[in-house]
Amino acid sequence: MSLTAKQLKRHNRHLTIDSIGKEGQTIFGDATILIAGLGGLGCPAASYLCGAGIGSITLCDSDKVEISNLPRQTLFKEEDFGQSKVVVAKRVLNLMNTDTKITIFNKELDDKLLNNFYTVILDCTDNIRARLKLNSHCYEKKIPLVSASATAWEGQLIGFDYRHKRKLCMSCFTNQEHYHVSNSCTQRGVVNSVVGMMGTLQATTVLRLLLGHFDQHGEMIRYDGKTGRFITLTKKPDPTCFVCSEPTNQSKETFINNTNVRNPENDTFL
Amino acid sequence: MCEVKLKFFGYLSDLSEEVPTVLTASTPTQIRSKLAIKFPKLASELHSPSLLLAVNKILVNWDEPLSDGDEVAFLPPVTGG
Repeated sequence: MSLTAKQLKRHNRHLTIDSIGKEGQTIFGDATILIAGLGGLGCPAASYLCGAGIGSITLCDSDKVEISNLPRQTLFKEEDFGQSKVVVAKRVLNLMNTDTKITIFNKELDDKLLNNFYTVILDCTDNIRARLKLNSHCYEKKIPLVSASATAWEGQLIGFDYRHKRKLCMSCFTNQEHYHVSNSCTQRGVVNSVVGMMGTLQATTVLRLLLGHFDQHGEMIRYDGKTGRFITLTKKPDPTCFVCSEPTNQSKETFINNTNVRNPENDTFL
Repeated sequence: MCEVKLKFFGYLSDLSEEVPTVLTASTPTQIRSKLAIKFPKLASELHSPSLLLAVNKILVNWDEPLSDGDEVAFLPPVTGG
């Protein structure tokens, strides 16, 4: 799709960057992004991707706006208490950029939603089951996945370009014990600007993936807001991974059971 | 036995202020056992199954053999959103 006169003016600051230009901006306009989870990560990610001129954004979250969301979930205001997050977010994003089509799913992540077409999927959830469900779907369909999280002063981001890389996936970073990790935002808290920065980094990673500038498949970027330092960690693919390696029947069965069974204490989007 | 450098991230850094930055050990498991003697609270946290362990910025398992000068980092899980 070519850029309109209004879009040329709106996205002037992108167009002047050689590595984006009209061609890159057109790629943004043609992209369809799924944001799973509209909490402290999903809000800034949605805001920056809408502002960047992404053509279509799908938002998925079943939660309603609560007062404890407001410090970090920047799409919501006090007057939005009790309203569906995705409904409020759509209203705000539509006011920001009418060129971006916003589709909302006021429910939990399910196969029907995942089976729609997406150029990139953002994991902005807060629980391991949703993360692994998104991972196995992205791996199978060869869709890039950008996963982030934050707890207290620390943030973490891992991107996977499954279009080109078939070894090392999100599941390689987890073990069975991770299913029992409780919702750390509730227990250990989270610094609003740290989770906001990770959501913003997710948005930047999407733009890089769309432009073909992403070469950090499976690299874990950790940010410690308390010291202001970044660290990048790598990992070898797990030869026993039930997603990207040859699994045993037992491990695959355990994986399927774990990703399908909800744990009501942990399974909410923050 | 090798001399390795220790690094603690997140809330683990709050529990490790008195911990020496250099220790002799042949595996990360041995580091944890040594720390348990003087720093039981920290060692208890290091037993968390979801903890990440990196040697020279590569995520590894607890039985990873260590070499002189290795940097061993302990990172708590980051899961919220």
